[in-house]
Amino acid sequence: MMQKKRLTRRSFLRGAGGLAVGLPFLSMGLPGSEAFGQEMKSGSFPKRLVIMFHPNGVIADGWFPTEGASGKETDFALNEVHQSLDPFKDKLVMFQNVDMQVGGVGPGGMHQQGMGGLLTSRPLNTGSFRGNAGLLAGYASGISIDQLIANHVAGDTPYKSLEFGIRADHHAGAEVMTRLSYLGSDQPLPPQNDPVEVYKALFADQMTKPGMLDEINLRRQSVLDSVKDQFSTLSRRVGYEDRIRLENHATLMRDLERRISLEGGGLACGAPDAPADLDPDSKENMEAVTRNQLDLLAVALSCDISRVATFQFSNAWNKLLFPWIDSNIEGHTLSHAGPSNEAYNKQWIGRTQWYAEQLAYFLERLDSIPEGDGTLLDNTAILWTSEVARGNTHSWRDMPIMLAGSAGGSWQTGRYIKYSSAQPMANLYVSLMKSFGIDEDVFGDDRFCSGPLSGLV
Amino acid sequence: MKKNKNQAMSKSLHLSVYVLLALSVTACKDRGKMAQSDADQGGVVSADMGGQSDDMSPGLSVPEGPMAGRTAMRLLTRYEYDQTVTDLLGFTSVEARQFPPENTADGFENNAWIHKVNPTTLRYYMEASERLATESWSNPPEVLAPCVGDEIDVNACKDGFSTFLVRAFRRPVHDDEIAVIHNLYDDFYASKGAEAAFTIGIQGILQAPQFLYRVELYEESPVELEPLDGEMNSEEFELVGPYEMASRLSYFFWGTMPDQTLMDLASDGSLNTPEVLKAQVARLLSDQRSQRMVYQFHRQWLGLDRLDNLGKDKAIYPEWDVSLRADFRASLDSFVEHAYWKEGTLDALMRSNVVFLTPALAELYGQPIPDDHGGLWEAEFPETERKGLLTQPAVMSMLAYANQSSPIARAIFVREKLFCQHLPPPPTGMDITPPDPDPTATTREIFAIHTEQDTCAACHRLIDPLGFGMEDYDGLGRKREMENGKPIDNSGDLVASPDETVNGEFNGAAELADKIAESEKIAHCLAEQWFTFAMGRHADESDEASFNQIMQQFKQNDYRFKSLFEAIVLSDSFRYRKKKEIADSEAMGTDSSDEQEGMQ
Repeated sequence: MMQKKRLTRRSFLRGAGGLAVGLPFLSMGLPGSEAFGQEMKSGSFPKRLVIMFHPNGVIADGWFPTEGASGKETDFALNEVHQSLDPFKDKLVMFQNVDMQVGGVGPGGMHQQGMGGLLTSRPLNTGSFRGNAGLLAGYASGISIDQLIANHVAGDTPYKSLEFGIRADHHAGAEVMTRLSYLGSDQPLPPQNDPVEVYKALFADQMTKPGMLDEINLRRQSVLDSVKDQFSTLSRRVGYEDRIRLENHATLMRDLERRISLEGGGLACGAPDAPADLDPDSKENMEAVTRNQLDLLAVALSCDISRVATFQFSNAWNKLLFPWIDSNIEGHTLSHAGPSNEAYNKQWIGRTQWYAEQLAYFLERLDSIPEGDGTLLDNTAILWTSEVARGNTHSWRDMPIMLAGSAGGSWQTGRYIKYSSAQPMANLYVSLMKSFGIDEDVFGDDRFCSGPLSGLV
Repeated sequence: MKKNKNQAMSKSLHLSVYVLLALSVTACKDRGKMAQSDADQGGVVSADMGGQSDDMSPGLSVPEGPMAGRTAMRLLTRYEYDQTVTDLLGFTSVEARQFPPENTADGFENNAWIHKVNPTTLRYYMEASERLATESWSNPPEVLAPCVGDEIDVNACKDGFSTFLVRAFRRPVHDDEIAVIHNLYDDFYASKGAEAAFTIGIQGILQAPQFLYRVELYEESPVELEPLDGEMNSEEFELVGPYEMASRLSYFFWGTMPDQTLMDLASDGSLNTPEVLKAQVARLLSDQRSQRMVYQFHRQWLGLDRLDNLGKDKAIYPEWDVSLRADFRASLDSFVEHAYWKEGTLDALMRSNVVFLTPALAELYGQPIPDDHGGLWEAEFPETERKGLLTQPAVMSMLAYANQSSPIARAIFVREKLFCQHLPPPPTGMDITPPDPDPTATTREIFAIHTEQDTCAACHRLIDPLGFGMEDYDGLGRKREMENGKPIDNSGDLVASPDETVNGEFNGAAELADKIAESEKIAHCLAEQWFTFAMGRHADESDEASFNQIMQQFKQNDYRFKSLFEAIVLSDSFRYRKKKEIADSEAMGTDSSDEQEGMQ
């Protein structure tokens, strides 16, 4: 693969509000990856999926839209909490009366069940250890929706998926309550909380001197070949269970190899400026780190470095403070406030509003990048949700669910869909799968899924 | 048989906790208006009740021969990776600090089943190996000296790699394993020269599964081993091989690869014998590295990383400063060191009145210390003010909200961490808001109001009276007699602990700590945690006999930690393993959770 022409860094990813991301070179038709280039020529762009998570649910009054007089799906006003998203109202779909049915089933405490079940729609494994509440609970028992779709749509992108975190391990550490994305049973994927590390992963090779990269990749490939040989020398000498572990490791090695083979030519754009090196686990930096992470995600999607990502704001057991909106009660504690606790509820709504603003910023970036007749936002499906519906009850009834974009026109947007009877959340995942070309009727545990989500597509 | 009677009693007591809880949970359930279906809720509760057994009481019959629980190969943790690389290459590595954190199980990072690789880890392994290889080129391990310099002796270099491989894989190596590295070296030597060949070789080794995992091979050793004293081997169990034993020891005590002494003892076949093991435990414990291991254990067991996120509301605690996080941590580390290495007993850990003070902590706790002392100052407090781990400033501060103490968190700490007793979570559909601080009331009053008005108060019978008794410490770990102008009521009640002899009323956390320190259940719980840490897995039913031996040893030696460590190493669980056929058939019988979906 030849070296491609590089943009000067200045021409990239700079400008007020970051509106310039990706736009110049894509519209000028600079060379991208082979696959990406072909898709561009044929006028079809890849579909992307982003799942944004915030912890501990919402307050109903601080989430759901107001219906219009006509009673039509398209006649609604966004909740005040989503005011910042109003410019994109026509590109959103809001839902009411969708339940996360896996919640409350099987082992684990409620926050564990919520985190592990949210994107897998399966109960936790029984496990050999105890979670925070003393219950025997393992990690989730199957693949998550983002990974299932990533396996299908990754194509020649260097990263099958990206897992972004914002203080994702805060207070709880690396455990069931802090993990959303799963390669498979008991295989959680760790989110990356530090934009500097994300940047290194995505662009380190781009910073390598031109001409050096092929040599580096040749060497890496040779080393990995030898490591594969070591896997086979070892595998035949160990027991059954260890052999499975080694096979799984080897499978991931092949993914690494694939990535290496794509680097040094697979990227559609040059590297943006490196993000500032800030302590990613500090409340003072949370806003700036969030922006940096969202910027990197926007670049990764626009440059076809990856087509699937999760964006995880902290975790179900967090103690986050939001001093910039005068919310100084620890996150999980705050979410427990009952309906009568107005002061706490106001703080909670303030946080929800802040998340909405981050999403609005991100949507603005994506919507400013033309792709064909539409924009990158149109070709993306962004799902925003939480691991419980309400923080104070840990209920999974009537989940907060917002879709932005339409995965390339897979559904009509600008709607507020209220169901007269509760729908399983896993049905939404089936609809997503179908939109991304996976023709199946069940996702996760079939007890909690009955087909595509009615009325969406 | 006094012992058996005690055990039977504890078991019935233990059950009673859950009966009590189950009743109260049922009562609460009715109130959960937004609850899921009853069937689902029942599932949550009964799944919990069914699986509860926190003490490993012996079965009715003593099994013939050794027994040991099921185990698996273990991926190096970040800590172990850096320690191992440092010992292997001879210069300090901190590469693993950037690796993704281990998936934890009950706080422990080294769980054989749960700590696994993911795509991000593999990329870090690759990049770390590249940097380490480059550094090795300018600073090579001794055995690889022939590989560098102006004149390279290729054959000597390749011999060096063979020797190096033994250290890297922590055992004699097979010809095919050597051939992989030699071929890699030859290829690159011919095409790219000595430096490329050398660095590529190192990279290949550092990414090899034999390096990254502590593999316990079930196949024949590539070299002839001295015959082991396998007379105890049974149809199901066999002694762990000598090199595997060397690694079990070195990683347990030092978190790193075996040193030359252990390798030598492995090669002459004498390692896995009780006498040699005893001597080795003593030797390993006398090294600084075992102190760091004790620190690692407590960091994971007690979740001390949370201290890095500790935050307090300055409106309530004007003395708070983020720099106190590091002070708390240093203070607790020193306390643990004191209990384990100076005093050396469980009693010291549970009862010592010593607190280690930085200047900032000295000011916070009103304890004058000399200006010019080096390091932390060891201060003795009145017995009524500081009593062991529970009353350490770091622990009391951690078990608190940002703006008030947390009787709940403290009670749960005593139950779960100290007694290994596990409480079910509040049922679904409950409003479980912690009450706001009130400037006119004590925390106890606030929480009491909350629970009195709640029909679910029964749920908190196990928690609140225990936690209230520790109200004589504020959210910064200061002993207090007044709160918001009112006197502190530190009367508490410990009900339904696993040990009836320590149940009952008490006044204040220090008195509670003193009282429960008497309990064998505390020793049992700590030993269980150490066992989990040492083995990288929880004890299963095949470990019962071992665990009972361990407890017996620990007790007979006045609960000295060194005797606990020695007993763990001498136990069948540590020395034996299941034979391959047995392990394989068991593993194939279970639905392996390791299968990856969508990755085939």
